[in-house]
Amino acid sequence: MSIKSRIDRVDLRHFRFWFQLAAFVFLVYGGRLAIDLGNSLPTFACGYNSDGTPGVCYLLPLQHQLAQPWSRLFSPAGIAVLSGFGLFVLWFVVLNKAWCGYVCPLGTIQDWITAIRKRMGIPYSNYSDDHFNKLKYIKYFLLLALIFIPLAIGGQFISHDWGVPFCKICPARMIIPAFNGDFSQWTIDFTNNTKMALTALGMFITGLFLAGSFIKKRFFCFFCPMSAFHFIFSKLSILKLKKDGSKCTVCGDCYRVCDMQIKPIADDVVSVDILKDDCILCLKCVAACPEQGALKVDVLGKTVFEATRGGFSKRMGIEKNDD
Amino acid sequence: MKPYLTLIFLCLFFSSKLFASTQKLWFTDQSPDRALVKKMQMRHGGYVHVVDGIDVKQLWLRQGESLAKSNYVTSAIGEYVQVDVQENINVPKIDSETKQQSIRFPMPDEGFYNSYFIERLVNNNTLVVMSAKAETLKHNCRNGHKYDRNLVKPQKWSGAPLDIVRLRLPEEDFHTRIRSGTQLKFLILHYGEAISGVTVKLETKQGWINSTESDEQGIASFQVIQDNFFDAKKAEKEGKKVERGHGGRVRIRDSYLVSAEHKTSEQGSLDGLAYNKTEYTISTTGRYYPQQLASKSSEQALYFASAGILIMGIGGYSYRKRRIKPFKEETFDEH
Repeated sequence: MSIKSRIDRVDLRHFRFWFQLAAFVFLVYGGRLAIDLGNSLPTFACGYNSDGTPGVCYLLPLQHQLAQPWSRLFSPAGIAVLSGFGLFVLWFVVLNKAWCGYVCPLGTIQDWITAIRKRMGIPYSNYSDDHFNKLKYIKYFLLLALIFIPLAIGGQFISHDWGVPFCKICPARMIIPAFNGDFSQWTIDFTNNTKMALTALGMFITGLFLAGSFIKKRFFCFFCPMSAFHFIFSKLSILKLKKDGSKCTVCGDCYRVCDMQIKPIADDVVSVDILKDDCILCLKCVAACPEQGALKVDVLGKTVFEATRGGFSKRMGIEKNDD
Repeated sequence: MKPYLTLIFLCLFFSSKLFASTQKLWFTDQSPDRALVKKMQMRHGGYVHVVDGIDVKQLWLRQGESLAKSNYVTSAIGEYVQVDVQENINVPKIDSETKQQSIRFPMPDEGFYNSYFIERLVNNNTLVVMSAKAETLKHNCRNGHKYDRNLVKPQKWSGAPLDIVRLRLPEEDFHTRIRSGTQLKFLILHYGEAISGVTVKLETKQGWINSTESDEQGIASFQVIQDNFFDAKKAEKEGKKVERGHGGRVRIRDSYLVSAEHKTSEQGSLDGLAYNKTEYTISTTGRYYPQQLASKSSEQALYFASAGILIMGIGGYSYRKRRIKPFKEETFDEH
């Protein structure tokens, strides 16, 4: 059996579990081994995890940099912003949105909460189509806010107390350091009204995150501005999720396994590049597809993993060795 | 009285005032010129000029009885010394752009730079060696935080007649802030040797003063208390001017001035003037902040998190219930 056939028949659930676990350990504790990947990682390697993180989520330095005085931001010194952004794009180009599905520690925690729910035999919830289509814009609103609020600080329109606004409300700030025994972020800051409101909102969202992830798969990813930011640059990536509509029977298996409830993955038989803004590139859709070559993953135009009947049968436990 | 006699009299009068024991000399990086501040850039170690991509620090001398009662020094005759991260001894450039006396020096590498100003003068048969010291940090987060922890160590210069070296806190890094409640330790050195029994005084801008003597290891310790931090809201209500930093942020911090005085019976002469005792003084400043948890509440935070969990739980349950369609039997006429 060729390597390609072996990959196509891989037990994706197990592979993903171990990959996510390794990425989680690396991004939450790797800093203690003096590993430093810089400040431009396209995933929630939370900067508030101080010594634990081997690199920092790009959203933190981005908000910091955009809050510089405009005289500095729009001067040659602003090149630092561009260089940080360039590094972010370079990291992102490699894995595309698989940063969310395979690397993001906050995403992994949500998957672990989902696993607990499954063990308890509690069914999950989904949004209605109407709610899905309305709520999906929240992540773009948050993305715009995390760009324009720091810019407004730099322009001296609002106070510096609004600094790193998204980090103040991001549950990763509370949850990731907690895995290193650091609960110092689990506080409301009463220094001033702005900080009090933002930190209180952050704690409230942490509560929503914990309960929401228990009810809805990948609850927070639906609202994550990093996901929206990824999607803007997803065309640049070397990793692509592709669909051959002519081979699709619209059976809906891909939609049923999708944690993000993306309907076009089943319904859209026209688009070739099928990656949608909510996609976390977990590839569960590819693994669940029974149609040969209907869904596939390409790296630089070369297919590395695709839906096969054999792979589907093996994963479903229908056939053992038939390709 | 002849004019030159008047001049001599005035010089003697002011020099005795200047070097009275209550007078202290220290460095500050707060520019007296607001227009100049706008040209500077803010870094973790305070404002800097950026020249050809390299941070250049500017420090001004201040003199007075205390932080609150002091002025910029317009002319001072003495020796300027600057010790860089590699402990190289340099002579900083004296800046002539402002009427207040200041120095500039480049800070190309990450770490701490020490600056000294030493003035020697014989007054009333006493050699007065008055020093000012500043410890300035160069750190840019862009350079990462997995730096060599040795860089956090304080620099020492054995040529300093009297030196105050702030010993580092456990786990201190470039982002560590001195907070009220912190036990601050200062090592007192006389030409590089630790000396005991030196009177060390720490005073805050708000006026809290404490003094102690250096112990056998030459260490003087102070616990920084949370004295009257500036209440900006109250001051604004009272119509007082409130100093705000970048972006209109009220800076919740205070400054401290630490000074040491060491008297010896060293004899000699300076510029033909004999002296039979020597008095060394040095002053340096630092900043401290309120205790981090003083304005934070974990209890309230847990209330908010619990509210989030509760609202999400109830909301999720009712959303799910609402979407369950009641069973409706469909009957077909098979005939």
